[in-house]
Amino acid sequence: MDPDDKFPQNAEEYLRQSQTIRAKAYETALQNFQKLVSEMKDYSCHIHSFRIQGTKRTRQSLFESVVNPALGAKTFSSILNEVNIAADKLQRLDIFQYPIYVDFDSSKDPLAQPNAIDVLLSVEEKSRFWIKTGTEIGNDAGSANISLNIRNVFGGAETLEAFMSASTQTSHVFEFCLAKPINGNPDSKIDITAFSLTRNNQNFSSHDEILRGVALRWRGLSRLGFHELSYGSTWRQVCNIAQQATLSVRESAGHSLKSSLIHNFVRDRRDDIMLPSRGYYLRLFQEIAGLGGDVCFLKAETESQLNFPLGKGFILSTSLRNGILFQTDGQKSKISDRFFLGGAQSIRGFKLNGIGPREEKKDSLGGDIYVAGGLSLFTPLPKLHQHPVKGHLFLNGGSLLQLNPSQPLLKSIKGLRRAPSVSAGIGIAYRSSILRLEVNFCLPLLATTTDKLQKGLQLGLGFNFW
Amino acid sequence: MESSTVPSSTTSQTWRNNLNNNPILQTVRQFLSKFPLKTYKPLCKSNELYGPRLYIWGPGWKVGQRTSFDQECLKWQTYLKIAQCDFDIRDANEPLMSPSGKLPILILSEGEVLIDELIKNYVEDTKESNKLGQLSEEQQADSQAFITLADTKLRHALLYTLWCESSNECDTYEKYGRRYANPIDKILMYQAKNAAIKEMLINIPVLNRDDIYHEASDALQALSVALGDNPYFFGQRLPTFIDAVVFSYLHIILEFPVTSANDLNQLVNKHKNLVEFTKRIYTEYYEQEF
Repeated sequence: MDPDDKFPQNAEEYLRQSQTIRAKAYETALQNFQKLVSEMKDYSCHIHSFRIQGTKRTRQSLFESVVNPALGAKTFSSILNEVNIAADKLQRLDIFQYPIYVDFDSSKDPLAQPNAIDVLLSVEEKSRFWIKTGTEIGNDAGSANISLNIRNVFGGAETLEAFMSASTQTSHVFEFCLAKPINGNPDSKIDITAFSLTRNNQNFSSHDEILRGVALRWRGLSRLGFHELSYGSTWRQVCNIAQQATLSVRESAGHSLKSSLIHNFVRDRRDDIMLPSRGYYLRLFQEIAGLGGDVCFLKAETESQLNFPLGKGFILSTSLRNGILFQTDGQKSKISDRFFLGGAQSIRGFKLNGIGPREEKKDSLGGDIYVAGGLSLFTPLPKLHQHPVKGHLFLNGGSLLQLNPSQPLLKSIKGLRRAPSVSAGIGIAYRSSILRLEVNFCLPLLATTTDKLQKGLQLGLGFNFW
Repeated sequence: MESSTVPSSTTSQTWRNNLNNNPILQTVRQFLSKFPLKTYKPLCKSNELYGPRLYIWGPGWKVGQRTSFDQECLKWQTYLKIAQCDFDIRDANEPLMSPSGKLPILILSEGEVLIDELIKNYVEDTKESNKLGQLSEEQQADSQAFITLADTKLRHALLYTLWCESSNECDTYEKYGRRYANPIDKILMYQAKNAAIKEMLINIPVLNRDDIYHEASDALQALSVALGDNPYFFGQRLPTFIDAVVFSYLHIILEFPVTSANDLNQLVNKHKNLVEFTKRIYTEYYEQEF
């Protein structure tokens, strides 16, 4: 009826047609290009010049180390490949805006040999300073944090970070970290950190712990997974012993200096960190202390998790963890080094760190050796298929002991079987965008008289569930 | 409709009662009380106290001495000894154990932690037979004055000797700092020295070595005169708190390794009766153990 109606109809039609034409043209161009590239795959040529445009602060040596492998390429396809890898590396160094433009051209230089190629990368440097604020929840603690960052400090993609955080469990954290990629490789970084933090352990162990330390650390990827190797010294101070603290906690007050070498390995092949449906996770941790300082021990910990999809939305998840802290100087271990067990994220049905050695039902003292395992079955819930909510049936168990220096190690290990703490229950698990939430009805099945139980409803909030 | 007429506090009360008496909840509670199905005895032994225990800086300046090397600790240790309290000694050497950040602390078997004056109250409350001397009111006032004299003049001189004489640094470090790992020991010694200087500066405006020792000398003179030829202060047959206080200073001054800078030692040695007094208390209350 309205004569104007026709125009938009025509316009739409026209637009659609032009789009199809353009798409077709793009497709054919791409096909031609691919054909050209595949034809030229083995075409021998070399890079004559490699120019990078748009850098202000970045040093040439960084580019040299990133670009160097490309310069040796002898065929067209390998040049394409290497230049792409170099561009990708530069992108992941996190100092340039996305995307980095790559241009190839036959060399314009009159002195160039035939088959020479000029490569031009156009980059734009990211702003140098940035501030990040955030909140985190995990291990029954909430925290707010702020970090101040300087990018590309000395022009070699170094990052400098000052991090501050305040929370319910750790009263305050201050961390300063200067990191540098090795040879311009974003997957291999070396950093030096200094930190100071106060840990509030009043809830389960009636003391505060102040840690101050420095560490030199390498983080990188191997074919197996992520590695972290660090050497550091930490001054630990167990202080602010509560008036009602048990004697063992009071006697463990004091200063100690740990100087140790740590290796941490993580291989994570899960499809999701918080509520995985398939894949496995493995973490191996080793620590040797006693290269200076006044604590000497060997510490090892393994964590593993396996997830099987059973079909129709059912998922079976199993986890197994164990750890050992062995004093090499025959002294009693320090409370700061020991393991703690129990809580909504580890062994459900028990209070946070509610399993293991304890005095007068009050303060957890921590243990030197532990084994813990869990079996969870996640089920689909009716009418909630499209939401990340699952029903949850679980069986958790574990045991935590102190080693007696006068006893043979094997005997202590056998003791782990004597008094396990086991619980089972049912509940729901919800995976939100930032954390996983669990509400479970827990029944402790086996327990020691000193364990702190959490019968009935238990709420779990966090990222990392066993 | 009816509930709206009832005051809200009563409503919440009845609501809570209803909830508590709810048959379903009661069943749930009964069900839960059956868990855990099996309980084990803990494998780790509990760390229990069978009597009061005094945590001190120790052992003493000389090998084999059970007397603390710290004046505050020795004062309370001696007071508990002369009151013949039954207590156990532990060389903690860790001031962070204490709620005040200072040793000594006395932990009772019920878990109560006592410091300073609370230890005195404890001794006065629990002593059964009269092991301590009895002072008249006038003597008590005098005693208080002499204690204050010792706690200022003698304490300043002792702190100065321990922390400010560079030739004594090693000996002080050996006792107060040796047990910590390098470099924590240096930081902690620095902090302790600063705390000592701060404490002295509360009472004296300028730390002048000669003035401090001169005042200590005067204080020693006054104490020597007050003691006279008596075995204990104020002619008592049995020691009192002032004896514990004076002993704690004199014993440490006399036992502290003698170096060229240890003028304090010479000052005490001038007063034969004070030296005798110190030896007497030591033999009577510390040596008889062995």
